[in-house]
Amino acid sequence: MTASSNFFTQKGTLQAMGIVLLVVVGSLWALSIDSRFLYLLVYVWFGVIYGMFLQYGRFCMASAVRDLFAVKVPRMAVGMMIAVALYSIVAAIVSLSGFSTFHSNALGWHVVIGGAIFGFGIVFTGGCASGSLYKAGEGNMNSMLVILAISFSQAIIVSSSGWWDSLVPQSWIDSAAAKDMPAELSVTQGWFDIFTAGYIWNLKGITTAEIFGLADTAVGIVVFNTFLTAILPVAILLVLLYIFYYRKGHLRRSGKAVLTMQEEIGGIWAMCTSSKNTALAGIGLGIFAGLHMYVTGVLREHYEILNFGEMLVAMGYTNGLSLQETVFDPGYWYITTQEAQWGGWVMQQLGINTMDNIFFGLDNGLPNPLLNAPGFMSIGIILGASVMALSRREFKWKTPSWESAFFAIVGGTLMGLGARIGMGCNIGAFFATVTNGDPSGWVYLFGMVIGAYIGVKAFTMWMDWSASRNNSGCDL
Amino acid sequence: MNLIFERRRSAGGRVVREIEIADLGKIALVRSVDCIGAMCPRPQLLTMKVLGEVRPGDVIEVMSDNPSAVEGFPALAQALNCEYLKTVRETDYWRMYLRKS
Repeated sequence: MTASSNFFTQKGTLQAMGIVLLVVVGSLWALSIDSRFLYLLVYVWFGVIYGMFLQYGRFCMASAVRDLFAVKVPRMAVGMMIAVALYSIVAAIVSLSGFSTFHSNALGWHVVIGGAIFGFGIVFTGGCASGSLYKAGEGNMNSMLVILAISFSQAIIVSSSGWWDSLVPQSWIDSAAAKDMPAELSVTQGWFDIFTAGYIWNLKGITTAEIFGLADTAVGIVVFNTFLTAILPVAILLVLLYIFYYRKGHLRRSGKAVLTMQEEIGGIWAMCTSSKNTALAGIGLGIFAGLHMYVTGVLREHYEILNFGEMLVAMGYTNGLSLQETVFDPGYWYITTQEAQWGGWVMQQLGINTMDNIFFGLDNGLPNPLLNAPGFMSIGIILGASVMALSRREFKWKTPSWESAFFAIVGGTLMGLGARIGMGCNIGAFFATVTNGDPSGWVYLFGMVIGAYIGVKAFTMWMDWSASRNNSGCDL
Repeated sequence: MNLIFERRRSAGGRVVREIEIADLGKIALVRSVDCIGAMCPRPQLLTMKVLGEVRPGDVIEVMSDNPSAVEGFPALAQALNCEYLKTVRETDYWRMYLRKS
């Protein structure tokens, strides 16, 4: 055992170091072409850090909502709440220093519907959008299929038009037509364009501080955005998770019928620290997600830009920019939009016009993947997870079964659909929003919980049905 | 992996494997659930199902190569009111042992 495991350990460590070297050499190469690529590289490096933490904590945010219903285990829900608390504190400091890159999401019915579709999808894919990236970094080819499905489904959803356009309410079409958009975007064709211009644009995205007229004030940021929108809901949810999922076992283990307040608090603490890796990853992810906004904010100020598109123009790269000469550049942790751009870019290369819509044509552009800054964050997550998995001997090429490949494609497509309707995934539409004072993220999480609940019911029914049919599945 | 010595015997119609795990001594194993290659939540749901079928005091083994599933097993055991005994690392998967209370 020792000889072979030492060999594998050594091999894994060497491969991990090889990936680190690749990132370092790649970064130096990019900087040697143009030092302004530093802005893009920040995305890469934070991606690598996210990937390492996600793999270290085996941080499966899909299981945060799913496992509450599937197996009644709160481990990841707790991990996610820890990450939210930490991110919100760092985000408050970043906002106070004036370097926040955050934009709130429009709030409406679409948030809960998108969240529900996304939440349903993740039960079948075995991971959320970030989860699929880090699991791909562990060698899981099922997760790679999920990423492909998320990329292409989104690209098709935002750019296609057909008979289904007529399902959209006439009022949205009228409202979209009244927006006076450039003709090449054809905003009254394609249901996603009509949805964006005729519905989303009529809604407002607002932070809690803005609701109370205290935007950009210290009180607004600390009390309303951080405490009321993130810390207080996290505290309430932790108490609820404890009462519904942990307290009974805690009582049984303590052997008492009644607990003192101190013992109850001890129970909550035990719940939060029951998986040390997950708790540590939650803390790390929270802090670095906040720092990411700060670093990008400082660089934007330094280079005097608001969007990476301006820098690309200055560097002479004008292909794939939107009509506003912008590209997708959130300035914080985000997953789904850049993956949509990968799919859209491939379709564009295949001769399908994917720029005649608001999503790519007006807002996010379709840059070459080599110049797609947030795209490199996603690649960074895969690489960072590989480094961690290889050095912990957890890397393994895994080929999916036909069944799980089917689920990956269908579930990934639903995730793509949910992410576009709900304006993001559990990172962009939940994690990054609630930590920056935008309460719409809690609505998205509520949607995800409903979707995951239905998804777990459907998945269990499928498992029972397929087990009764061929008596196999996961061989007993 | 010399942590486990296995011996099979049949007891009362049930296949029982006697295994020896470091730190735990000899344990009679009632069922083994092979979840290698399975994505979440299948390993968790199958474990729940098998635990529902065995008798109190029985020990089951779950094999998985899914790191995030393995990480959640101690918490799963707590939630299912069973005793989490140990996780044994093999070259490219894990064996986990749970005793039904």
